[in-house]
Amino acid sequence: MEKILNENNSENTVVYVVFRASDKEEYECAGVLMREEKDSIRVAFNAKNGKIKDWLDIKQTDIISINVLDSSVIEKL
Amino acid sequence: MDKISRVEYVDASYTYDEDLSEAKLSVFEAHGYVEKVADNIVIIFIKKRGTNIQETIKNKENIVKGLVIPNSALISAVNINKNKILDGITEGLLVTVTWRDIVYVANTPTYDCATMYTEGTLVKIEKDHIILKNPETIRTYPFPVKNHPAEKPSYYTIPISLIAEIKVIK
Repeated sequence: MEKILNENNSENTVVYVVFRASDKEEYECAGVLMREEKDSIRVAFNAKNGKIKDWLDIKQTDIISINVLDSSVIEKL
Repeated sequence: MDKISRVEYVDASYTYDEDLSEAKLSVFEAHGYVEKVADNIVIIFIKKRGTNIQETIKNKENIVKGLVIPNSALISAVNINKNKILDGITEGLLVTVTWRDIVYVANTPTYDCATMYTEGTLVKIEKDHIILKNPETIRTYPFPVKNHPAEKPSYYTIPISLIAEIKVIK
């Protein structure tokens, strides 16, 4: 799979991921792509003063689809 | 696909550090599927594929992972909050504060916030938060009632926008 994360980009890369979990169910989530490695990715959901508090590591083999979300489709509250 | 939001909000925090300068208001940023439920905002981090969050909430189904924040915790609400809740309250008083806390959710049908009760000496009043010294905090909702944290910290920082009531003891 082509690499998504550009580590030279200071902007957050927000991704929408559909994946299969260990319970064999399929789930979806959206968050900031923090890490992208050969075997897995890390998606962060929540940060305190810029420090990540909640995240999910997903095996590359469990990913059904992953898409980068344009900032224009993300509502800011 | 449900709409995805980026939410900036404040939360209460505590410290065991004796240095008052370490007690600060924390700012959080979260991404997720967002739904307003009464005066709460439900932020869902992970959901089952293809499910609709309005239906999930309507049917009182479990949230896989997420959190519930009071709508007054939003940065946009904090900055415009002009309530009079601190009228007549000054630094140095022993007070009790009833406030709404953020709830982390994992595989439960939780759509509302916790209610907290903190007693301590009011040592600092800032424009958007207060700081209590030697605070004792009890979560009164949801049950079971319990201390939070179990061990008393040195300071508790509470955003003013989360405060429901503040009373002077002495």
